[in-house]
Amino acid sequence: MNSSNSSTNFLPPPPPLSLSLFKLGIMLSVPSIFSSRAPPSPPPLSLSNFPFKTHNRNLLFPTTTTRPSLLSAPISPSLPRKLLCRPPSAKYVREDYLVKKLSAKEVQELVKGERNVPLIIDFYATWCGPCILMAQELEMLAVEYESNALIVKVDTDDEYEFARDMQVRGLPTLYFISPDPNKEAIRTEGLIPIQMMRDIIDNQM
Amino acid sequence: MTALQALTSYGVGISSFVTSPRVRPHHRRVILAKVEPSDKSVEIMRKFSEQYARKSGTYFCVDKGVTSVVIKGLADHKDSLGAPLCPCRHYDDKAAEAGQGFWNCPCVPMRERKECHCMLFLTPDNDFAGQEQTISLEEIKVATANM
Repeated sequence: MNSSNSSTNFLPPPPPLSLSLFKLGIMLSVPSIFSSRAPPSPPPLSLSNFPFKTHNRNLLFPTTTTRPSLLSAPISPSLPRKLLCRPPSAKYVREDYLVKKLSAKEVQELVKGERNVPLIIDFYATWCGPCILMAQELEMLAVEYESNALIVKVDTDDEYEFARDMQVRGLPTLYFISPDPNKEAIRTEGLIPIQMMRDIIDNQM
Repeated sequence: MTALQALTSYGVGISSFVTSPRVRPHHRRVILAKVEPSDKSVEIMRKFSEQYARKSGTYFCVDKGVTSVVIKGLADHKDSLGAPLCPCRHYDDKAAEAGQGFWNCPCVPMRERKECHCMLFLTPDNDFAGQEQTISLEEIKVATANM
């Protein structure tokens, strides 16, 4: 399989069940993935922002209306479900992305410094379509691996010289750098399935 | 090429001036971190994408967000370089590459082997290929609204 075709000739594996709900969250928040460059203005989501009081008030109603009575007005057998909180709008979901955008200097320091987890560097560009899909996959991977892998991204339009020095050509390009300095780095070009990324991290690093 | 770009930007400036001659706009414009491609270029690249998809028998991605982003990337390069250089590559010298032409959309790999790594033009056997060969300006705007 050529690298230029690698992005297009595979079947994405079905996500594990535990991730399927999260994937729904990612799907809902696709516009927010697009907004990764938006200014950091919205406040972080917190349960205290949501109307618990409203919910408590609603709890009062079932006790008075579920009692069957010939005289009472006909009521629907089940009350309409009240949501605990308003579902987050796509704009504000995942305001704190797990995959952080770093400058060339910060990445170089990370590479030189000591680590005990693999480092994954995602080289992307603003207007590269597959890079957006890759960013979604990397967010999922970041949640899955938590502190067992460090995933960062570099904007090749900002860090021109660094991308040139790293011989980045096609986008997105991923570099997998092992914590073991004796192991060689692995580089992939194009959109790759998440399972391939897991295999590289688990087996090669 | 630069004269054309200057004309385009001047034209845009004039039209906005005409619509609000003396009254200050009530809404504030949001300053974007990156300059957006001009609407005219986006429309040109949108039409080109539809036409080329029909001609080559390829289809847009199931996720129209990918298509929208790539079309905007092509428009952005068309504005800045005069040619729609592939937005899914990193170049040592963009101007030289635009002049050389290998990676100008439709790039040589696409023309010869129908390989589009931007996932703009997808052959029907591709897992990501949708059923459509059209995309509206509205779809592009909505998909890239938060960028």
